[in-house]
Amino acid sequence: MTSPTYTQDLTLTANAYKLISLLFGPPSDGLEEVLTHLEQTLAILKPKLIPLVNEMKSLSDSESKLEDLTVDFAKLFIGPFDLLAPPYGSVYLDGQRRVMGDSTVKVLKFYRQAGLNLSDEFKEPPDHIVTELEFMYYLMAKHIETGDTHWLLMKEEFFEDYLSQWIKDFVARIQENAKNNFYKNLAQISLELFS
Amino acid sequence: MARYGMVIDLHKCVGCGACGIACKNENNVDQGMFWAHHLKRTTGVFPNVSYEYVPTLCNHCDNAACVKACPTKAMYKDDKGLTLHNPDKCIGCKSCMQACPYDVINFNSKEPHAFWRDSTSLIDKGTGSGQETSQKTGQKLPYYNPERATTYAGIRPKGIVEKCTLCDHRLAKDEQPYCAYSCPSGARIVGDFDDPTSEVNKLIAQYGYKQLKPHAGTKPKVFYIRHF
Amino acid sequence: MEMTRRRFLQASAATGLLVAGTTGIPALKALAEGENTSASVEGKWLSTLCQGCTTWCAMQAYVVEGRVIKVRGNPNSKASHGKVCPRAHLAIQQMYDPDRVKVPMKRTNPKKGRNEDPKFVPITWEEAIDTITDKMMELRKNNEPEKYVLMRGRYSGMADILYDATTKIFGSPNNISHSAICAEAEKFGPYYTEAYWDYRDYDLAETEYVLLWGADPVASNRQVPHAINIWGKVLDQATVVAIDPRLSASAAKAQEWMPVIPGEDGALAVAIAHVILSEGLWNKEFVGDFKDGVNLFKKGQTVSEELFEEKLTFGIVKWWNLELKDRTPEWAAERAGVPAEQIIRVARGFAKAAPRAISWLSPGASMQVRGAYTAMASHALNALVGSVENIGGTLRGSSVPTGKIPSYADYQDDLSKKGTKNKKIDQRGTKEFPALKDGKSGGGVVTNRVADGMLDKDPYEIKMALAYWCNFPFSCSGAQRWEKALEQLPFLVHITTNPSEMAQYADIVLPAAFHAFEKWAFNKSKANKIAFASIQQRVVEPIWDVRIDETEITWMIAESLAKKGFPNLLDYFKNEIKDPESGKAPTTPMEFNMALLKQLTQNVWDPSKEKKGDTLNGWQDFVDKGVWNSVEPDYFKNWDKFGTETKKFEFYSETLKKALNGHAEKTKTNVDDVMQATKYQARGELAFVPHYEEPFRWGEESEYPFIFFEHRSRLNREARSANTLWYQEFKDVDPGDEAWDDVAKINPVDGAKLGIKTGDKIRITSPTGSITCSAKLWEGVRPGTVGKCYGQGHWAYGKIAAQDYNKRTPRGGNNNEILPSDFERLSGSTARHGGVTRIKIEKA
Repeated sequence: MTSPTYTQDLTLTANAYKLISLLFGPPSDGLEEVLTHLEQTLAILKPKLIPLVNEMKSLSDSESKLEDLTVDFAKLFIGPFDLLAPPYGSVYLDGQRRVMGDSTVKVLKFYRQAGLNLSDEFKEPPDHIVTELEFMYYLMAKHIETGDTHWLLMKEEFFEDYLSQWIKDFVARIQENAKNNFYKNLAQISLELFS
Repeated sequence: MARYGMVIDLHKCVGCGACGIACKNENNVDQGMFWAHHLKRTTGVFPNVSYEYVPTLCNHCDNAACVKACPTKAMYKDDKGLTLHNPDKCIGCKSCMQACPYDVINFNSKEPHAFWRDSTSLIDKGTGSGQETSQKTGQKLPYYNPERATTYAGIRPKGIVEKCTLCDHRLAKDEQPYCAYSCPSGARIVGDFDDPTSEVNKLIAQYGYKQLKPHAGTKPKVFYIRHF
Repeated sequence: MEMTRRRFLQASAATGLLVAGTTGIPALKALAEGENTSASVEGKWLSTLCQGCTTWCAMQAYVVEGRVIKVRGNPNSKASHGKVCPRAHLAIQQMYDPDRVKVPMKRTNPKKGRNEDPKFVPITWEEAIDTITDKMMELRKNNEPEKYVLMRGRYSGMADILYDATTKIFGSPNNISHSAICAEAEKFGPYYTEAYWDYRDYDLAETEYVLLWGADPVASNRQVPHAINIWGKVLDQATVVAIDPRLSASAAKAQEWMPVIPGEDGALAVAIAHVILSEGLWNKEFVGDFKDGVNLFKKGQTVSEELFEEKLTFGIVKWWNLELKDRTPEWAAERAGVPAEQIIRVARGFAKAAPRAISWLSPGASMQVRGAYTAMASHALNALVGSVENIGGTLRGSSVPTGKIPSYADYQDDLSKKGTKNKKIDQRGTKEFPALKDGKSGGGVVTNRVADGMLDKDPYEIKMALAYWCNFPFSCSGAQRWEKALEQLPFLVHITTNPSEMAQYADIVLPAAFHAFEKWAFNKSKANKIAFASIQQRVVEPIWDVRIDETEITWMIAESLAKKGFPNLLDYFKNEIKDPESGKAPTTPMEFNMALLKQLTQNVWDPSKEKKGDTLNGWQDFVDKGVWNSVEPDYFKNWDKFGTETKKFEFYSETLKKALNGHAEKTKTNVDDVMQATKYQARGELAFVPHYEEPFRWGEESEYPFIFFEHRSRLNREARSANTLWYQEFKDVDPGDEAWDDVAKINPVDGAKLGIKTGDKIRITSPTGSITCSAKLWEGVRPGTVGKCYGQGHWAYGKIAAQDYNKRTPRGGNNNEILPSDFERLSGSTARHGGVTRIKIEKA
């Protein structure tokens, strides 16, 4: 079970989750480094996705391009009017944006059970894609750290019961509505990694 | 300064164990660990037999051996005279456990509350599991008491020690420690030994007292009055 | 861009990336490790009721974010001083028991047996109820509704809706309560002396002497928190004497321990009476006196009845002449293994404290094959010292004005009227089983006889059973008979929280709401001179798909029966049960539950209803406060009108004479023959007075050298708590017992003879069964006797209770597998105490 390649694969997968989580955050200067890490990670995990990452790099390598991204990001994920691709699980699972709907409470319970709470700095509700991906990363990291399989089981359960139930609809909405290939590619990579 | 401690009236105590159980409940203490427990002794030969039960807990010693032994000052005395433990400073060296004459400090050798992570169910899809129950309640421990976390780690992680705090989180709100609160006989009385008018001082003046291992020189502050 | 490993390491620290082969702490942005330490976790104390034993204490649960965190006594409860005993805390782990049945299940393996996996699969509630009512309708179609039996275990004040009305409207006489495996024999004592069939209350606050007949008030049934709370004061002002084969929790605190040989309690009771009479120490105000004031009660000599002028009692001289005159302390010492000096000392002390003296009955001294007369004798001591309904003595309770279910007679059709006229399956009222509750032949249940009735199809075959909150193959002595009876039962429905022993034989298993926190119900009880009614509240939403046993499930059954052409039950519910506030008839299971609850408790919470006790301001006030307290009962209330045949406190029981004669007539025989059939030794007039009977034991001493006796645990929640961690971790709070273990307590002298040490695994064998457990050498039991606590030995129920659930390996051994099924037949009670069996011990 704990062969070096097994651990390495787990580490890379965890990192991929973390990196995608970061990419679903607001576009910033740090994108280049994150994309470079993603490229290296995918080189072993899924090499065929590397061209997508390279295109994303080229779409974010200048101030003006970052501005374009910010506009696209806002339309897709922030509003102020109808979100084109709401990044909240409850929208897909409860049929509406419910800050503390049934599915959100369920997610919160998962976090609590893992000994986690929402960070004071991150002002989004518990069912945000960034939070959920970070949670997946955390569970894998804990498994790698402790060797205890219950973390991995928890991750699988969280994915099965929750994240997998809405992520496909979410990325489909991005692919449909994004103007910029950056987010279309991010959606494609997410889809490939989570199916 | 204050010197908080406890008087246990062994005459009132019936040895029911409610203190020990309530303590685990209040403080989210894992299976196999006891902050409040008991000593038992049966002496004599039938039919002249006697049974004694002595409830135990951290003595919050004035001269605490655990505090002296701790290399990182994780174990310390606070301004109420309580012997407290800072989990952030604790390196899990167990020096305190070796130094304590009362065997009331516990070490987290495993990640706590494994019982509630067990995913096996006796009847597939028919009965629950520890994991499912804790998940349904959204806590590592279904009856996790969040109030414990206001002054100490709510659940102490693997690799460090833990012990009785005389429910400092409850004392802070002017509530009795939960063991005393839950004692159905009213045998546990908590108070300030620096206050000459306190109930605890009156009781030891009225009845005299015994302490556990007074010769260890730790100046324990759990005083036992009368007899079981 | 190629990154060096070094560069990567630096970068990973910032982004939180992990590096294979190293362990680092994951970096988080959106989430944070550690608990919420803000004080924004305010919870709420909600009132409910503990049903860990039958003290039924009002308690409160602390609820935070929909979870029960902890419990405390209800501060409004006068009966319990606002306290709970250690049991209440275990309720939390019981509700959150990982092994709870979470959905309805059906059996897919038709073969039944301890070692058959039932192969349960989950089903919907609809399918479960549909299957149940199909079976019920089939019985009605075949004109045999009496072949249905309802088995009741732990119940609420709303039980009659399922236990009585549903069974009788359906058409069966067989509503079987668990009561006779719990206590009935002790109630025989006060009934056939002062016509009171109930538990007594005791005036502990005022007492100066307490004689405990096998009772262990600081540890077990009943009134535990009250007793614990007041015991320090009792020990300050009174002498406490524990008559118990074991150094019990109360014996450990008592001034005197009388370690009676199991089953010989009666010898001590009559000898104490002998001393009180022969030394002239009886209470003259209550009993009266010799007309010339000279005590003629002399050892061995009969007395002429007309020389004594009795006041509030009847038959003191008859009692002396028939029984007491020869029952000297020396005679009793030989029988009971307790020194004569101690008997004399206790008798004198008890009488001198009169009337502030309590003789406290318990199952231990009465649930014996010949225990009925011990119950009478020990209760009669109260009359000798005039402590009956007296200050510091033994009391009855005040009444609680809760209602009864409405009459259902109009809803019974011809078939159900005919069906309910059948004899009951427990054989009550037959010559061998008088079960003389309330003076009537067959007036009480003979719970443990049901297994035999089912096995022998006597008086007829049982085809279907609905059993709730009971676990008879575990909790009844002669447990193996229950396993056999359930193996051959065609259809069993079990409403349970856990996959219990009984559930293993079920065709349908229904997940029960956990009483203390998931049910809406009420109960009434008494302690500390206060009778009370307490709400049982659903303080949190259940995490599993459970229903409330007596009401929700019953409603669903009624609806389904109506659809299948039998609407009577549903009609009864809809027509007779109405929410007293809205006047509305219920339309859903939960509405039915709430309407019934409010209807039955209306007198308690409705301020316009007169009653002797608290005034509550309506339903919500009852829910919030959680408890209604009565006034304290008057002392001396029945002194001029005891409900007995003679209106007096009867030492010579005309009341029992009438009941026994009535039973003999009904079964076409005479009282001597009834005595013979019920295993009693008394013949003639002796049958009507409290008297000594030799203990009846199974097994010959030559083969089974030890007398076995069992006792209760202060952590037992009716044998349902063994699947909790705290039960196992604290099992050693029972004197002599060990954590996480099930020990047989053996005197070290016997241990040495047998070559057995503490911790050895041993096999205990009686004439009817065999179990294994651990040995514990302990001075708190007499040489020649072996004591063991009830509660461990589950071979099912859960991962903790059983050593290995899948392999059916018990943790320790269940006493009920070595205790033969025998009875105190006059009350119908199971005889589990008094050393009913002998055993042998071998190393396992």
